[in-house]
Amino acid sequence: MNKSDVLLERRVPRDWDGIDAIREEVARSVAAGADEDTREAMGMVAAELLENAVKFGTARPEEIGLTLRLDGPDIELVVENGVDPGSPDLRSLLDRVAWCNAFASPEEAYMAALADVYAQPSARGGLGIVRIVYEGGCRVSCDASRPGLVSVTARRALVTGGGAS
Amino acid sequence: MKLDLREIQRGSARIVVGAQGGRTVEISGILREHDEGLWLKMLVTDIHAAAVERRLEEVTVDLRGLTYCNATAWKCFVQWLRLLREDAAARYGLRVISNPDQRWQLVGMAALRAFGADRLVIDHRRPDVPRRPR
Repeated sequence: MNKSDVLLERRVPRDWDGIDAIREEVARSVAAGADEDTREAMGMVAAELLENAVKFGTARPEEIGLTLRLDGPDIELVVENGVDPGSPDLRSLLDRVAWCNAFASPEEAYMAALADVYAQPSARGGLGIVRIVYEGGCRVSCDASRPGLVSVTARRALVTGGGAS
Repeated sequence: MKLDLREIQRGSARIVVGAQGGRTVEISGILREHDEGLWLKMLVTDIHAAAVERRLEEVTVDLRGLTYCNATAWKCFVQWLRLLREDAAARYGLRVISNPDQRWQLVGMAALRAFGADRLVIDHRRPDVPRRPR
């Protein structure tokens, strides 16, 4: 990975109220020439991942890592935060990513997630990751192999020009 | 019969219940909910109850000024549709006015249709541009 491929690198405070400023910064930082849909989508992806990190992450490390970069024809956003290895929230995140990836299409995953929300109004969490896959058009993966840390990667094709994706 | 006029400011989100003659809920700004959107759920439940009690035929939700909504807040709209369809006393339909320039609204609305069935109408309309005085 060339350093020049990194579009944005931030250590983000665990501050709920600061998420929108980062969402807007990510959208602005998407490569020059990217279409508006890609910018909006990556901003949303950053916001949903940061929300999860703020809500479910641990206080150490104090800050959340966020990296936006180009990788060949794709654009990739990685959010990394501290996590308790035995946390049920970590298990839920890993399960949710696997659940999403098991569907034949992002739309099927999203509709199934909305059906769950409809059927169980009190159920917690879970729609953000599915939104990233469906609305954000991203493939999502999750790495919890380093003790005390979890990173979530969302990647999509970089669409350039003014047309819809 | 109409909804009582009230205005709620929550962070950078602004909600006006009973706008535009009393049957519209205008939501603008950024809706970023924590904790499963408890206050928003309560607001939706209140609006639903008022619409049922006052035998409204339609409630309009105008989202054209809403620039961003997180997944937690979005769940509240799904749950509104559940309230609407499962409450035998509810006679009203929901008309959502979305902004076609906000892609997330277009994509999200398309999925919502499946849950609203014939009780949900979605209009895509750009925000009104104030007329320049002559």
